[in-house]
Amino acid sequence: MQPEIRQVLVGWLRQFGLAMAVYVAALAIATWALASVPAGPLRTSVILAPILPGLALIGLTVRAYGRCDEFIRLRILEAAALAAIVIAVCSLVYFFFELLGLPHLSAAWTSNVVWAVFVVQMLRLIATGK
Amino acid sequence: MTNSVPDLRAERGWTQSDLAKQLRVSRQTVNAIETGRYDPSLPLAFAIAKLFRRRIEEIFYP
Repeated sequence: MQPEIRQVLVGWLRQFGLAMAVYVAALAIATWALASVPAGPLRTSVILAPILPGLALIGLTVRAYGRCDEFIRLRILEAAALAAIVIAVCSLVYFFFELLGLPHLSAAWTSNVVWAVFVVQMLRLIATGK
Repeated sequence: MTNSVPDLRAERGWTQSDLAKQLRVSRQTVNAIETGRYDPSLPLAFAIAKLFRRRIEEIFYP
């Protein structure tokens, strides 16, 4: 039998949380290195290090998707589609707000918003999964 | 689309978990099919029909 939705998604959430913790730690070190470490291979490596846990998030999500059956996969695809729509709308709207004088935001925020929307939907799926 | 999966399952005394195990899907999927929240793919519909020894149109109808 396919693993239950709660089992797969809770496992994914745990791994997601761990990868996020590693990402935040790497980001903090990268921010420190940006200001404190002299230019060179070490500085470059440390600044690029947060990419790895970021890629791990994608890999973990693809792996969880592969463990689900067709109904759950459809729910996950719907969550991904909604996350994409939300970020598309937010990016468009904020672009015009920037023209009106709001501060310019880093493109990294798009990743944060996408994952936040996706995780909220996964939590909803776990909560409502009968 | 409605279906007679709950009736066919009940006739055999199976739980949703029993049916899910035989179809190799999650119990949530069986629940979603039975409550009409999800229309199964053609391969899964064929698997359900084969398991209950019925034709697809005898189980799923508009």
